[in-house]
Amino acid sequence: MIRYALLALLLAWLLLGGLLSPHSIAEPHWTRLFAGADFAHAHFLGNDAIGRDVYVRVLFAARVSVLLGLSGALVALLIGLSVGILAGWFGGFIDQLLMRGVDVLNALPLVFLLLLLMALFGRSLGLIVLAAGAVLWLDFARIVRAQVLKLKTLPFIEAARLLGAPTHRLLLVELLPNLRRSALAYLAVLLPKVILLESFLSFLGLGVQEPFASLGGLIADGAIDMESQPLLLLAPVLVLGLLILSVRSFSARWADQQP
Amino acid sequence: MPSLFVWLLKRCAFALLALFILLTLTFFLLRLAPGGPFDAERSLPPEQMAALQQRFALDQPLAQQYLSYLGDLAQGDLGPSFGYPDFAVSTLIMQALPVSLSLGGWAFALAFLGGLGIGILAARGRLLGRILDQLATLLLAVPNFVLAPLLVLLFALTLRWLPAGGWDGPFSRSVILPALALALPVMASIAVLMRASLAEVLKSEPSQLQRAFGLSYFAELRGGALKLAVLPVVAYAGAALAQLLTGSLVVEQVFGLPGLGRYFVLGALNRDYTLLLGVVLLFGALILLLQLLTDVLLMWLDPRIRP
Repeated sequence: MIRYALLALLLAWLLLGGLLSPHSIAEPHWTRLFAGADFAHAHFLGNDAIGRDVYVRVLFAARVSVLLGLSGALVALLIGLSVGILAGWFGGFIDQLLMRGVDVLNALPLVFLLLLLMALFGRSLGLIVLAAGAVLWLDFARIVRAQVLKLKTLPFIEAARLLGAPTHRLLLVELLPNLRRSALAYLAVLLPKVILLESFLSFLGLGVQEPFASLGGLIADGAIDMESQPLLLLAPVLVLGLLILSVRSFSARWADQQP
Repeated sequence: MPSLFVWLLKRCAFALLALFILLTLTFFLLRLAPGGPFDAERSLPPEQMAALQQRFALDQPLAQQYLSYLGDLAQGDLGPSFGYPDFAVSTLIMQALPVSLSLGGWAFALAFLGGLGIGILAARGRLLGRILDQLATLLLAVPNFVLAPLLVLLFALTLRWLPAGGWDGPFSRSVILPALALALPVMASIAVLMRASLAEVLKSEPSQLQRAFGLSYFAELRGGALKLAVLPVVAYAGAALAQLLTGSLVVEQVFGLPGLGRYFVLGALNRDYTLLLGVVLLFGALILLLQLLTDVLLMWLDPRIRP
């Protein structure tokens, strides 16, 4: 019950939290540098080093983090599904090739490679999403492969094949819908991972760039100025923590139900 | 045992091959990336730029550069740094290595000892164990880059017990906070892993039999349960090191420590080719070496997987 309430609350805040504040993200208030909370002027969490409203900054950063997290997770799901289905369905040489590839990638410290890529090839939002997705699909490909191996022996596939369905129909119409539950569940596993990965990059200055900010970037800024105004650090930390905990509570439940 | 020797030889060869691939990939990735090491000095007249390029052999064909880098490397020479032209890369690394090594050593010890201890207590299922287990699960959601500033805020700025940054040597008070910030997330993963693994062992029939004969929890641990349960945790060591290395990038930045993590980020951003390659080589060698050690340790602990 608490899980649903927390998730609903977070979603509502992400969608409607902007209605509470009249301020914009980039607007500086030069008389309020490092000021604390001031409800009379609707600065609920005070202002940062150049007087921008912290509440609005955190809200927008949270939106950026969640959107990037979702898109990165979707990229990972897509790659994982494709590789898993190909390996599981066709078996043999293709299976060997793909799965050994997964093994090799698994042995590499991929976060470092990701860091290197971000530092070397600029920091566009698209690249972050692609790179994060490209790093995190490995486990899901294994899960999908195992499921496809099980599914393809079941009678309904045999029946469809006997009815003369072409391969692409077997894969897309018969097989794919049966993977939707695991895909949805794995989305809950991936989402916090992508959010944390992106925040880690942003913390190091290699992620989302100004004028946008993600929670990791705000935490890095807040860590620099925490002596002047602890709220700058605590506000994004709290939001990130709640986000991760909320999504994790769903994925942990799912992991417990797995045999 | 000749088969063991052959196995070890194979593993070493594989590790060297992996290191070589890593190095080659990084080398060409770096050259593919837009920008060069001297872009900050864009205002230089072209002839001086050409002289700089020549001094660092950047005017030669790429294949030539790659081969000469490998040749120097074979003689233990990592080349001059592009960003700090008066220093050799090996000098820079040797300056930073003691800091990173002692920080990482403390964190590694803390993570494994603490994680194992908490896991053992938690698997018993008493109240304290359950509380610790919940704490560890909660801590899993808190990454280094959140933990480090929070620790500084609490223990350095508010309570004023410990310094907020800087480095006074591996046995000073200045190492406590960074080591904690680095170790706690890894400790949490190890605790959760150990709890699950030990709970599994304790559910097995020999274990239940021992308990039926009235053996106490700790006697049972000594009598083999611990040795069996610790296997997945040992296997986790390689991943833990990778986690610590990534964490060190953040922790060194927050505490302003003069370690290797700084060189990794700076080297990539400033296109300091040789410095970055040196750090990548060192990190890669560390991870591969630990994986090798882990495999040997696992075989020693678990006769079932010996070749």
